[in-house]
Amino acid sequence: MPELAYSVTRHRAALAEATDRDVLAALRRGDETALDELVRRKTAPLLQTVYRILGDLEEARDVVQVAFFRIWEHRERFDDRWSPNTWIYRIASNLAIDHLRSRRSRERSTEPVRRHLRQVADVRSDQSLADLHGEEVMAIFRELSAELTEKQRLVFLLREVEGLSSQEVGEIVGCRESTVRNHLFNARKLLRRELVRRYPEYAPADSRDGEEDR
Amino acid sequence: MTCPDWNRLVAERDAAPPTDVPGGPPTDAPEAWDRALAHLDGCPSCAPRALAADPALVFRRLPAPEIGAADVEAMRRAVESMRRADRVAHGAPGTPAGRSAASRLRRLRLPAPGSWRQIAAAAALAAASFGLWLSAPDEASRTAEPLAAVAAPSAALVPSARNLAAEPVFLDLAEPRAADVYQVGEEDLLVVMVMDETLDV
Repeated sequence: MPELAYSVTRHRAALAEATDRDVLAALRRGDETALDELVRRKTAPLLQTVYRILGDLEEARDVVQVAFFRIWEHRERFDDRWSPNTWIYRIASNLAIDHLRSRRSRERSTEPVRRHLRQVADVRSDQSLADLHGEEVMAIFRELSAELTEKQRLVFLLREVEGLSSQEVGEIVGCRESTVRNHLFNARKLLRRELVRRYPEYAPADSRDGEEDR
Repeated sequence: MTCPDWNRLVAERDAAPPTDVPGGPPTDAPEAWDRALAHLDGCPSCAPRALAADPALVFRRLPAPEIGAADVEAMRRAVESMRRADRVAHGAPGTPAGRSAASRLRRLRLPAPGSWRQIAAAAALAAASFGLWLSAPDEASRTAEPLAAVAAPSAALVPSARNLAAEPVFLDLAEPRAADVYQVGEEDLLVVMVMDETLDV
């Protein structure tokens, strides 16, 4: 009877049960099955985060693909003391920010986009903020967040939308917690101000008054 | 939890100092803020009041694309293609790509290069291939193609020292996805069988 010496299937099943840290440890040893496992685990959350940063799913796919490739290329740099998630998100976030910068340099003028968004907003002017659909929220965020710095946008998304702690956001973005709080404070203020200024129909009356006073 | 007073919460949050203050709060929002946000996610009636207090809260509803198994598989293939293209571009011995090929072979626990075991295994597989060819019922079935189909992977998967040095083409073209490696025989004659139904050979 042949003796089963090694089974990729069994190895894959074992990795599926392993922690993120163990998967990264296997990755550091050059285990390509571990990369498959990491792709299986992290594609959805990374795509969701990067999509929110970029506002475009196809671009998000490209960025996440490159992120996994970078993770493989730099696998030996991962330090066991780091949080696996933080390291992975940091690579993906940095790539997304780089992509955002290059896109901004390509699209110096966003006026055509703004005109289109205004038309969308006009058609739906009978709605309140609470009634907006997801894609409308994304379109408005994409427009308004152009006023934020890349770090402000990233901090706002990771802290306010993804719900990460300030400490985690600091590790991903590569800054102190106090800096995270500063970025978040300024991002909230800017977004609120621009939302009220550009889409007054969505802003409640007391909020409009408040923003004008600030 | 009862619906919170959003105006008060937003005012408290915005009044919290954004920079580090000795002895100050360790987070960037009052403790009640995170609890209120969790409540907001499950309470539709809170949404209008929360958004009235802070319109930027609408961005908590930024959509997330639905990612299915097909997306994950497409991503896996895309990443694999990138790595393969990179190996082709930087596949010289001693580079990370070269190490990658070597580690792949180690992972399959194939005989070490130059080992007499691999020579015995290759010989056994070659003999089996030759036997298949001889036992073919007619001349038409003794074409070169079936022989190549059997012999080519065996030669590459049980590589000679020369094949190893040149990085086996077979493994580069078809990464085993569900390979089971069996060993038959003892020290004097060891046959290694790699079975992978996902490889169309």
